[in-house]
Amino acid sequence: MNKLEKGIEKVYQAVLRDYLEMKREVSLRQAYEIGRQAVLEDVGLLRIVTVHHQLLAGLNDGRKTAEILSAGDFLRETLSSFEMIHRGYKEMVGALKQRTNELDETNRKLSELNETLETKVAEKSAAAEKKSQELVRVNHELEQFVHAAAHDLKEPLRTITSYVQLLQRSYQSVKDDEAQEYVHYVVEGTHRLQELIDDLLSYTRLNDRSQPHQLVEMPKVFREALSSLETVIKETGAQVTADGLPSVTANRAHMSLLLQNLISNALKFHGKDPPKIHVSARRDAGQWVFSVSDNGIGIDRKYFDKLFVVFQRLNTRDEYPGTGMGLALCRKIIEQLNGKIWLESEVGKGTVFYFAIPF
Amino acid sequence: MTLPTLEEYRPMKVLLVEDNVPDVVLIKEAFKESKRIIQMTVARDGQEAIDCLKGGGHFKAPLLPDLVLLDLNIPKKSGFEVLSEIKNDSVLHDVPVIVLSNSSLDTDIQRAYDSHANFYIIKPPDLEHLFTAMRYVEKIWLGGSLK
Repeated sequence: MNKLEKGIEKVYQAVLRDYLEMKREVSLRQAYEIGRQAVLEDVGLLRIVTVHHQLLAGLNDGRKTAEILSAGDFLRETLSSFEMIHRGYKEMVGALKQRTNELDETNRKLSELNETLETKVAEKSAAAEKKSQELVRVNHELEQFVHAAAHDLKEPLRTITSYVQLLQRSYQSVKDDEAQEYVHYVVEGTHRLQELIDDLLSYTRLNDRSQPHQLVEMPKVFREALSSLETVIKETGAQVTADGLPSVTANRAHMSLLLQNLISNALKFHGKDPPKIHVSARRDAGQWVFSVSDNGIGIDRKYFDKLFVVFQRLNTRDEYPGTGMGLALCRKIIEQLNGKIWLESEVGKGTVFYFAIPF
Repeated sequence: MTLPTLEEYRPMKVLLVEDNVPDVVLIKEAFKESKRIIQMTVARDGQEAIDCLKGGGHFKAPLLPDLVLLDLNIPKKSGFEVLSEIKNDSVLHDVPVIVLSNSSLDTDIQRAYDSHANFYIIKPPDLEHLFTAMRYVEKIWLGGSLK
């Protein structure tokens, strides 16, 4: 019996004596209180009842036995449900405590997992960033390589072209039709090669972002384009007009190239009627939408996707000359401005090219 | 009728500084049909060009040409170095120098003119353009006439 139990037992003895002196009601209530306290202190109801019966055994007073017994029964009965509730409560608290510990453990594990995840994500991000930077670098190297290669090709090509033409001259008087024809094809081949290389260089030069954007007056650019294409316009008897052209913030040289290419195409792909070309622009929700329309041969819808692909041609070289790069160039220029280029066309009914430049 | 002076008939002296043999042949070919007689001296590199103009190396006496056709891309001394030496020389600085180059870069063209080149020609891509260019050169610097 520990100190606590001894203390309670002593108090209970005193109460019992009291009860025996006929102070019944009060003593019983006190006994109840002691019992309740014992339960709360974990001494236990059973112990009190045992103490009760032990004390009883020490008393040889027969006439008080029944009353003393019933006091014990009273204790047992009234306190037992109390004890059950108390025990239940303790169990519940115990269970809650355990659940809380489990939860804390789960939280801790989650926290660890989270940290691991964050580390992994950071690693993956860093790897992706590195890869992205490498791609940009490789792309830049490729652009420079193409530019250098195209540039280096010009020199030997110049020699070939010049000497073949020299040969052509020297053997002009020779009466060999076959040889003349062969030489003619070689000369033509060299011209095409030069055109291709020039176009390729133009395309790669678009990568040069060192030129700052400035306010470009499109009406001026249009007039300059007309001036460059003067000969063709005269030869084809073309009518080229424009209206509503604004100023845009862009690279001036690129805008010049863009308009020239589109108008040049319109002039080139005409039908039997002289070309009628109109360039115009309108505002539309944060962007300028330009249009270049013509009354030419038109383009079949199924070829629309192929149009803007580098070196892709839709006609044979005998029908219409060209390297097939003009529109690829136009698209690259527009895309660098975050704009879009598209067209509407019907075979035999003409074409309208649209390009949009955001403000 | 005025009698022509001797000046109009003397041969024109041209120094061509060019290391690329096919280009040398082409330019000589371009001047074959010139009205004036062209005496062309060819220097194969920058050092030879200076030796020719100032006397040195295997050139016994300096040459004072009527025109220098100077390719920028030459070995030993560079085209720009030769151009500088000519234009900084008290005797040679009046000699017209036409720079020939493959480069169409604004920076190169600007640099040539800043170094006092008299003209900059981007090497023509074919024969006809070359012949036309040389015809103009003749007319402007070699007292010739356009055919």
